Amino acid sequence: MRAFWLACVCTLSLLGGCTAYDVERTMLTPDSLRTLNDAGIRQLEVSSPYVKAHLKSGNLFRFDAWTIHTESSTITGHAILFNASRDTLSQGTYSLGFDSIAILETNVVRNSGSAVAITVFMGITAAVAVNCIANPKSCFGSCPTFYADDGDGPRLQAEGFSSSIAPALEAADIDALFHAQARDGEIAVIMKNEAFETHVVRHVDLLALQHREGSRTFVTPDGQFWESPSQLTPRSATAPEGDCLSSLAAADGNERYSLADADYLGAKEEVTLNFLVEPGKPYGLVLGCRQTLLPTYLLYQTFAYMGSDAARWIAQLGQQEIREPDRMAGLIGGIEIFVPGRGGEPVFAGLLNEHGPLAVDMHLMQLPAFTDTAATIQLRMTKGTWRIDYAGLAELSRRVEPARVQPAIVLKGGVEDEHARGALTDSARVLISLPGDEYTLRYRLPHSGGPYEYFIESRGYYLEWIRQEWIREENPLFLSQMFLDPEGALRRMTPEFKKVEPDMEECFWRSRYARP
Amino acid sequence: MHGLDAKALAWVLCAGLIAWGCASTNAPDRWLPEPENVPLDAYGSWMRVRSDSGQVLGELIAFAHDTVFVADSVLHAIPSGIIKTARLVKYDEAGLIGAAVPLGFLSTVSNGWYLVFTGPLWLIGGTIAAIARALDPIIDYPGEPLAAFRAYARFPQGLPTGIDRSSVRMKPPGNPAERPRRRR
Repeated sequence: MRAFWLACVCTLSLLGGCTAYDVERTMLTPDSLRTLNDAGIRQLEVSSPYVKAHLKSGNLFRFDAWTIHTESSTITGHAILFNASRDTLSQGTYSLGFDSIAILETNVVRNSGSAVAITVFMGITAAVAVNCIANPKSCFGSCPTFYADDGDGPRLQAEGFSSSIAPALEAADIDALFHAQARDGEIAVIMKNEAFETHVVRHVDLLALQHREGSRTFVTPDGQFWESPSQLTPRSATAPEGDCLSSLAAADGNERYSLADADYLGAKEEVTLNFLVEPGKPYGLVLGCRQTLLPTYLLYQTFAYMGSDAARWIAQLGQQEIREPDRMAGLIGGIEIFVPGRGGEPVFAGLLNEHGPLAVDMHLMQLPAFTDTAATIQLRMTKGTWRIDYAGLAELSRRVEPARVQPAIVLKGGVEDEHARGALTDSARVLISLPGDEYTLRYRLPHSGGPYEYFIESRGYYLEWIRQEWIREENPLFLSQMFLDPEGALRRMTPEFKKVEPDMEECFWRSRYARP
Repeated sequence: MHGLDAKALAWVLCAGLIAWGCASTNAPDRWLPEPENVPLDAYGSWMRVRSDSGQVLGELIAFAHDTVFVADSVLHAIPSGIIKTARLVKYDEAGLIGAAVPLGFLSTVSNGWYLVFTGPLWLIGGTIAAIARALDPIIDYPGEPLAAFRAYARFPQGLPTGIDRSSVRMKPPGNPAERPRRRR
């Protein structure tokens, strides 16, 4: 991959080296020569190193070093004299009076406007490519992406089975299509492979939940769907940087996040939420969040340390003898939720830990009943690991069961793809998608009226394409350290990560695989 | 390569071919100077004139208000009034920009998602730049008046009086003068 990018940049450099000139010719008569001032003469000397003096006889002096003397009305310098047939007659130093010249010809050679445009295009293309070379671990990756119409057009709403990086880790993943809107009794979901990955998709089913008008439905990590007639926003929200309520009050894309610790990637931080609640009522905490690129970086760094042996390691992931670096994952961790205990002390209430840096997903964590009207909830997480778009308290009214809907039509490139639909609706088969593949899955909604809340359940796994630049970092010792001394490994990797952290998010999104 | 890629590339190539066709010069091989050698060239520019009496290809020798003088193996005096079209070519643009556009377009595969911007940039902007470049050295009549050709004649001052017209020949094909070492 690196070689490929370098080839592209070299090509662009070669293009940049290609100059294209245009020529602007000017004819000066003896009268116009006399009107030249010193500045005009100097400008002419610089811009037109050669001048041609056309004589009335047809002969031509081509000066390659020259000076105009306005006071004596002469041009002096070294020249070649040609006759009318352009045979060379002589060469030497000549001084010509203006009156003996019919026309003085100047030629200014300058860059063509087209060449300037191409240079600009080359610069833009090279800048983007170089960014990918400089920061390969921030290039786009992580599972299938799902886009659904939010009323304004397709919007990234979910990513499927982010943790399933090997066949043995195949799993189902439920994600809320929180902003999806149906049209004409249908929901269309666009599934894309936008990374250098192979996606093996077992199924992608729509889960539709009818609910009461004004209610919303949320899902817990263990797959329980709860209807919520109302959601409370925090009265206050504070983080180490101060008030962060404006970022958390609405699912509007304005996310609260922090940078990783400068000394230790595993350092923790807390966000404190205060709610006004009705004691005894059932509530659940709703968090709309996604991971930052720190976990992705660590995953790719693990692959890099595996190097040329990565495929064997990945093949064995999930087997008994080789497990994921669980201790490392534990140090980074999810979002730990603490609620007030009987004595007011924080008590652990649950862990939200769904992987994926792409789409904000809505998660529900059921909470024990509050005994006071003032409820303080603390979120504890690794610094620089989570982006939280929304935090609210959902009043829970009842558990609901979804209607499972399989795709009725699957389109690829605008054409119905019966093979793909068959693969997605037959649990014994899988749909394999490669970088750039895009499928539109159309689901027909049940006829029992609405309104509905929509979730997507995807099942499968994906295989990262091991990049050449990762293999160069093969290091069994560092790999061992990630398993045996993950804290030490995190400390060792901190300076490297901090170097790339500021530009990671931008570079990551920019490097999505797209078709020309 | 995906179908869409092939279509886009075909579009670029077609546009390039159209540009190449539009900017054809009919000049003999190595007759035209490179742009940076134009200041050294003591001859007139390449000219193609189509008139009621046929087509003449050769070096523009001189321009008078009612006559265009073009030389091939002989000197042709073509009355301005019968000229239908004329094309003057100042230099050989070498087609580097045209060649750069497909390469630049292909290189955008290194741009990931940003390809959706850089691809069309090359496809549309690059094609326009290539066409514009192909037309840079060309002056066409009747798009431009014949008077615009005068500066590119061997004798921009007009055909010298007393010149033996039968001795006037166009510049022989071959490499134009080497750039001399400048004296300063």
